[in-house]
Amino acid sequence: MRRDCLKCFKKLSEYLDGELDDKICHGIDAHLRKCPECREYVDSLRKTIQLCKGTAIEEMPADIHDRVRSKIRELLRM
Amino acid sequence: MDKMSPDVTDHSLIAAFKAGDTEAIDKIVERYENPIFTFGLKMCGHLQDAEDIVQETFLSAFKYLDSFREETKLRNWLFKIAARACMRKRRKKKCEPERKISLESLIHKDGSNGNYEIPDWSDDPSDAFLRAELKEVIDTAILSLPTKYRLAFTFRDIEGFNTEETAELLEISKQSVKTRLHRARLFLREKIVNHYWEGEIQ
Repeated sequence: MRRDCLKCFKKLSEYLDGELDDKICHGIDAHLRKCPECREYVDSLRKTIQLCKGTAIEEMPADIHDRVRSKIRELLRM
Repeated sequence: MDKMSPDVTDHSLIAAFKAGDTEAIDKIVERYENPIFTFGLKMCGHLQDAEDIVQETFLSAFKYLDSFREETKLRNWLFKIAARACMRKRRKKKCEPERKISLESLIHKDGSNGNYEIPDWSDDPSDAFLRAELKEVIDTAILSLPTKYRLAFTFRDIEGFNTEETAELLEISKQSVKTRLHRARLFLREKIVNHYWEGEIQ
Protein backbone atom coordinates (compact mmCIF):
# COMPACT_ATOMS: atom_id res chain seq x y z
CA MET A 1 0.00 0.00 0.00
CA ARG A 2 1.36 3.41 -0.96
CA ARG A 3 2.18 5.84 1.82
CA ASP A 4 -0.63 8.28 1.01
CA CYS A 5 -3.11 5.37 0.74
CA LEU A 6 -1.96 4.04 4.13
CA LYS A 7 -2.38 7.47 5.68
CA CYS A 8 -5.93 7.57 4.35
CA PHE A 9 -6.64 3.94 5.36
CA LYS A 10 -5.73 4.66 8.98
CA LYS A 11 -8.24 7.49 9.24
CA LEU A 12 -11.18 6.09 7.28
CA SER A 13 -13.55 5.46 10.19
CA GLU A 14 -13.03 8.92 11.62
CA TYR A 15 -13.48 10.28 8.09
CA LEU A 16 -16.79 8.46 7.67
CA ASP A 17 -17.93 9.50 11.15
CA GLY A 18 -17.11 13.16 10.48
CA GLU A 19 -14.71 13.24 13.40
CA LEU A 20 -11.66 14.64 11.64
CA ASP A 21 -10.34 18.19 11.58
CA ASP A 22 -11.22 20.02 8.39
CA LYS A 23 -7.61 20.07 7.24
CA ILE A 24 -7.19 16.28 7.49
CA CYS A 25 -10.62 15.74 6.00
CA HIS A 26 -9.80 17.89 2.97
CA GLY A 27 -6.54 15.97 2.59
CA ILE A 28 -8.45 12.69 2.45
CA ASP A 29 -11.02 14.15 0.04
CA ALA A 30 -8.17 15.20 -2.24
CA HIS A 31 -6.57 11.76 -2.03
CA LEU A 32 -9.86 10.01 -2.77
CA ARG A 33 -10.41 12.18 -5.84
CA LYS A 34 -7.25 10.86 -7.41
CA CYS A 35 -7.19 7.30 -6.01
CA PRO A 36 -9.96 5.00 -7.34
CA GLU A 37 -8.73 2.09 -5.22
CA CYS A 38 -9.15 4.01 -1.97
CA ARG A 39 -12.52 5.29 -3.20
CA GLU A 40 -13.67 1.70 -3.63
CA TYR A 41 -12.31 0.83 -0.22
CA VAL A 42 -14.17 3.69 1.44
CA ASP A 43 -17.32 2.67 -0.37
CA SER A 44 -17.01 -0.94 0.82
CA LEU A 45 -16.34 0.18 4.38
CA ARG A 46 -19.35 2.49 4.28
CA LYS A 47 -21.51 -0.39 3.02
CA THR A 48 -20.14 -2.69 5.73
CA ILE A 49 -21.21 -0.22 8.39
CA GLN A 50 -24.64 0.22 6.79
CA LEU A 51 -25.16 -3.52 6.47
CA CYS A 52 -24.17 -4.14 10.08
CA LYS A 53 -26.46 -1.39 11.31
CA GLY A 54 -29.29 -2.56 9.05
CA THR A 55 -29.27 -6.15 10.22
CA ALA A 56 -28.45 -5.49 13.83
CA ILE A 57 -31.66 -5.04 15.73
CA GLU A 58 -32.94 -8.13 17.48
CA GLU A 59 -36.50 -8.66 18.61
CA MET A 60 -36.71 -10.18 22.05
CA PRO A 61 -38.78 -13.41 21.91
CA ALA A 62 -42.07 -13.25 23.84
CA ASP A 63 -41.14 -16.08 26.23
CA ILE A 64 -37.94 -14.28 27.26
CA HIS A 65 -39.89 -11.06 27.69
CA ASP A 66 -42.34 -12.86 30.03
CA ARG A 67 -39.60 -14.58 32.04
CA VAL A 68 -37.66 -11.34 32.51
CA ARG A 69 -40.78 -9.54 33.75
CA SER A 70 -41.73 -12.28 36.17
CA LYS A 71 -38.17 -12.58 37.52
CA ILE A 72 -38.01 -8.84 38.16
CA ARG A 73 -41.40 -8.91 39.87
CA GLU A 74 -40.39 -11.90 41.96
CA LEU A 75 -37.11 -10.40 43.11
CA LEU A 76 -38.55 -6.97 43.76
CA ARG A 77 -41.51 -8.67 45.49
CA MET A 78 -44.10 -6.69 43.62
CA MET B 1 -28.32 15.14 23.29
CA ASP B 2 -26.00 16.31 26.00
CA LYS B 3 -24.98 13.55 28.36
CA MET B 4 -25.85 15.78 31.32
CA SER B 5 -29.39 16.55 30.17
CA PRO B 6 -31.48 13.50 30.94
CA ASP B 7 -34.19 12.24 28.66
CA VAL B 8 -37.47 13.77 29.84
CA THR B 9 -39.38 10.48 29.84
CA ASP B 10 -36.60 8.72 31.75
CA HIS B 11 -36.49 11.55 34.25
CA SER B 12 -40.21 11.20 35.03
CA LEU B 13 -39.99 7.41 35.17
CA ILE B 14 -37.10 7.59 37.64
CA ALA B 15 -39.03 10.10 39.74
CA ALA B 16 -42.10 7.84 39.66
CA PHE B 17 -40.01 4.82 40.68
CA LYS B 18 -38.48 6.74 43.57
CA ALA B 19 -42.00 7.76 44.65
CA GLY B 20 -42.98 4.08 44.82
CA ASP B 21 -44.90 3.78 41.54
CA THR B 22 -44.33 0.15 40.48
CA GLU B 23 -45.70 0.81 36.99
CA ALA B 24 -42.55 2.79 36.33
CA ILE B 25 -40.61 -0.48 36.49
CA ASP B 26 -42.59 -1.97 33.61
CA LYS B 27 -42.24 1.21 31.61
CA ILE B 28 -38.46 1.35 32.07
CA VAL B 29 -38.16 -2.34 31.14
CA GLU B 30 -40.37 -1.76 28.10
CA ARG B 31 -38.14 1.10 26.91
CA TYR B 32 -34.82 -0.65 27.24
CA GLU B 33 -35.28 -4.42 27.17
CA ASN B 34 -34.94 -4.75 23.40
CA PRO B 35 -31.77 -2.65 23.00
CA ILE B 36 -30.17 -4.46 25.94
CA PHE B 37 -31.28 -7.81 24.55
CA THR B 38 -29.72 -6.87 21.18
CA PHE B 39 -26.53 -5.87 22.96
CA GLY B 40 -26.46 -9.15 24.95
CA LEU B 41 -27.03 -11.24 21.84
CA LYS B 42 -24.37 -9.43 19.83
CA MET B 43 -21.90 -9.78 22.68
CA CYS B 44 -22.61 -13.39 23.67
CA GLY B 45 -24.27 -14.99 20.67
CA HIS B 46 -26.70 -17.14 22.68
CA LEU B 47 -30.32 -16.46 23.57
CA GLN B 48 -29.84 -17.77 27.11
CA ASP B 49 -26.86 -15.50 27.73
CA ALA B 50 -28.72 -12.52 26.29
CA GLU B 51 -31.67 -13.28 28.56
CA ASP B 52 -29.35 -13.50 31.58
CA ILE B 53 -27.81 -10.16 30.68
CA VAL B 54 -31.19 -8.44 30.36
CA GLN B 55 -32.26 -9.91 33.68
CA GLU B 56 -29.04 -9.07 35.55
CA THR B 57 -29.05 -5.55 34.12
CA PHE B 58 -32.56 -4.70 35.26
CA LEU B 59 -32.28 -6.42 38.63
CA SER B 60 -29.11 -4.54 39.40
CA ALA B 61 -30.55 -1.29 38.06
CA PHE B 62 -33.72 -1.45 40.14
CA LYS B 63 -31.71 -2.36 43.22
CA TYR B 64 -29.75 0.88 42.94
CA LEU B 65 -32.17 3.16 41.10
CA ASP B 66 -33.25 4.83 44.33
CA SER B 67 -29.78 6.29 44.70
CA PHE B 68 -29.27 7.04 40.98
CA ARG B 69 -28.56 10.77 40.76
CA GLU B 70 -28.93 11.16 37.00
CA GLU B 71 -25.39 12.39 36.52
CA THR B 72 -25.45 10.23 33.44
CA LYS B 73 -28.38 9.22 31.23
CA LEU B 74 -30.41 6.22 32.37
CA ARG B 75 -29.74 4.53 29.04
CA ASN B 76 -25.97 4.90 29.44
CA TRP B 77 -26.12 3.68 33.02
CA LEU B 78 -28.10 0.59 32.01
CA PHE B 79 -25.66 -0.23 29.23
CA LYS B 80 -22.74 0.16 31.60
CA ILE B 81 -24.36 -2.40 33.90
CA ALA B 82 -25.05 -4.64 30.88
CA ALA B 83 -21.40 -4.41 29.75
CA ARG B 84 -20.26 -5.46 33.23
CA ALA B 85 -22.68 -8.39 33.14
CA CYS B 86 -21.18 -9.45 29.78
CA MET B 87 -17.65 -9.27 31.16
CA ARG B 88 -18.64 -11.33 34.21
CA LYS B 89 -20.16 -13.95 31.94
CA ARG B 90 -17.02 -14.03 29.86
CA ARG B 91 -14.86 -14.53 32.95
CA LYS B 92 -17.12 -17.33 34.21
CA LYS B 93 -16.81 -19.11 30.89
CA LYS B 94 -13.02 -18.89 31.17
CA CYS B 95 -12.72 -17.66 27.61
CA GLU B 96 -9.39 -17.57 25.84
CA PRO B 97 -7.24 -14.47 26.40
CA GLU B 98 -8.08 -11.52 24.20
CA ARG B 99 -6.53 -11.40 20.74
CA LYS B 100 -5.38 -8.11 19.32
CA ILE B 101 -6.31 -7.00 15.82
CA SER B 102 -3.33 -5.25 14.30
CA LEU B 103 -3.82 -2.73 11.54
CA GLU B 104 -1.08 -4.45 9.55
CA SER B 105 -3.06 -7.69 9.52
CA LEU B 106 -5.91 -5.88 7.79
CA ILE B 107 -3.89 -4.32 5.00
CA HIS B 108 -4.08 -6.07 1.64
CA LYS B 109 -5.51 -9.24 3.08
CA ASP B 110 -7.99 -9.72 0.32
CA GLY B 111 -5.74 -9.08 -2.63
CA SER B 112 -5.02 -5.85 -4.40
CA ASN B 113 -6.55 -2.55 -3.53
CA GLY B 114 -9.35 -2.98 -6.08
CA ASN B 115 -12.29 -5.37 -6.46
CA TYR B 116 -13.75 -4.66 -3.07
CA GLU B 117 -17.26 -4.12 -4.18
CA ILE B 118 -19.96 -5.19 -1.75
CA PRO B 119 -23.43 -5.59 -3.25
CA ASP B 120 -25.96 -3.15 -1.92
CA TRP B 121 -28.32 -5.64 -0.27
CA SER B 122 -29.44 -3.06 2.21
CA ASP B 123 -31.61 -1.53 -0.52
CA ASP B 124 -33.52 -4.74 -1.14
CA PRO B 125 -35.62 -5.55 1.90
CA SER B 126 -37.94 -7.69 -0.24
CA ASP B 127 -35.60 -10.63 -0.34
CA ALA B 128 -36.14 -12.14 3.09
CA PHE B 129 -34.00 -15.19 2.41
CA LEU B 130 -31.04 -13.11 1.27
CA ARG B 131 -31.39 -10.82 4.25
CA ALA B 132 -31.57 -13.74 6.68
CA GLU B 133 -28.44 -15.23 5.14
CA LEU B 134 -26.66 -11.91 5.23
CA LYS B 135 -27.68 -11.36 8.84
CA GLU B 136 -26.18 -14.72 9.77
CA VAL B 137 -22.91 -13.83 8.05
CA ILE B 138 -22.77 -10.48 9.82
CA ASP B 139 -23.73 -11.88 13.23
CA THR B 140 -21.07 -14.58 12.92
CA ALA B 141 -18.50 -11.98 11.88
CA ILE B 142 -19.40 -9.74 14.84
CA LEU B 143 -19.09 -12.69 17.22
CA SER B 144 -15.66 -13.51 15.86
CA LEU B 145 -14.38 -10.08 16.93
CA PRO B 146 -12.30 -10.14 20.13
CA THR B 147 -14.40 -8.82 23.03
CA LYS B 148 -12.87 -5.37 23.40
CA TYR B 149 -13.39 -4.60 19.70
CA ARG B 150 -16.89 -6.11 19.78
CA LEU B 151 -17.83 -3.90 22.73
CA ALA B 152 -16.63 -0.74 21.00
CA PHE B 153 -18.31 -1.71 17.73
CA THR B 154 -21.61 -2.73 19.37
CA PHE B 155 -21.85 0.46 21.41
CA ARG B 156 -20.95 2.73 18.50
CA ASP B 157 -22.47 1.13 15.42
CA ILE B 158 -25.29 -1.01 16.81
CA GLU B 159 -26.51 0.92 19.84
CA GLY B 160 -25.63 4.33 18.44
CA PHE B 161 -23.59 5.79 21.32
CA ASN B 162 -21.14 8.49 20.28
CA THR B 163 -17.38 8.26 20.80
CA GLU B 164 -17.43 10.17 24.09
CA GLU B 165 -20.26 8.11 25.55
CA THR B 166 -18.58 4.87 24.47
CA ALA B 167 -15.33 6.00 26.08
CA GLU B 168 -17.21 6.61 29.33
CA LEU B 169 -19.07 3.31 29.14
CA LEU B 170 -15.87 1.35 28.59
CA GLU B 171 -13.73 3.58 30.80
CA ILE B 172 -11.15 4.05 28.08
CA SER B 173 -9.92 7.08 26.14
CA LYS B 174 -11.77 8.46 23.12
CA GLN B 175 -8.72 7.61 21.00
CA SER B 176 -8.91 3.97 22.12
CA VAL B 177 -12.59 3.87 21.14
CA LYS B 178 -11.70 5.20 17.68
CA THR B 179 -8.84 2.72 17.27
CA ARG B 180 -10.95 -0.26 18.35
CA LEU B 181 -13.92 0.78 16.26
CA HIS B 182 -11.80 1.28 13.15
CA ARG B 183 -10.13 -2.11 13.48
CA ALA B 184 -13.47 -3.80 14.18
CA ARG B 185 -15.02 -2.26 11.07
CA LEU B 186 -12.05 -3.19 8.87
CA PHE B 187 -12.18 -6.73 10.26
CA LEU B 188 -15.92 -7.02 9.58
CA ARG B 189 -15.53 -5.57 6.11
CA GLU B 190 -12.94 -8.19 5.33
CA LYS B 191 -15.17 -11.01 6.62
CA ILE B 192 -18.12 -9.79 4.55
CA VAL B 193 -15.99 -9.34 1.42
CA ASN B 194 -14.47 -12.80 1.91
CA HIS B 195 -17.86 -14.44 2.25
CA TYR B 196 -19.07 -12.67 -0.83
CA TRP B 197 -16.08 -13.58 -2.96
CA GLU B 198 -15.98 -17.14 -1.69
CA GLY B 199 -19.55 -17.45 -3.01
CA GLU B 200 -21.11 -18.06 0.37
CA ILE B 201 -23.55 -15.27 -0.35
CA GLN B 202 -24.95 -15.25 -3.86
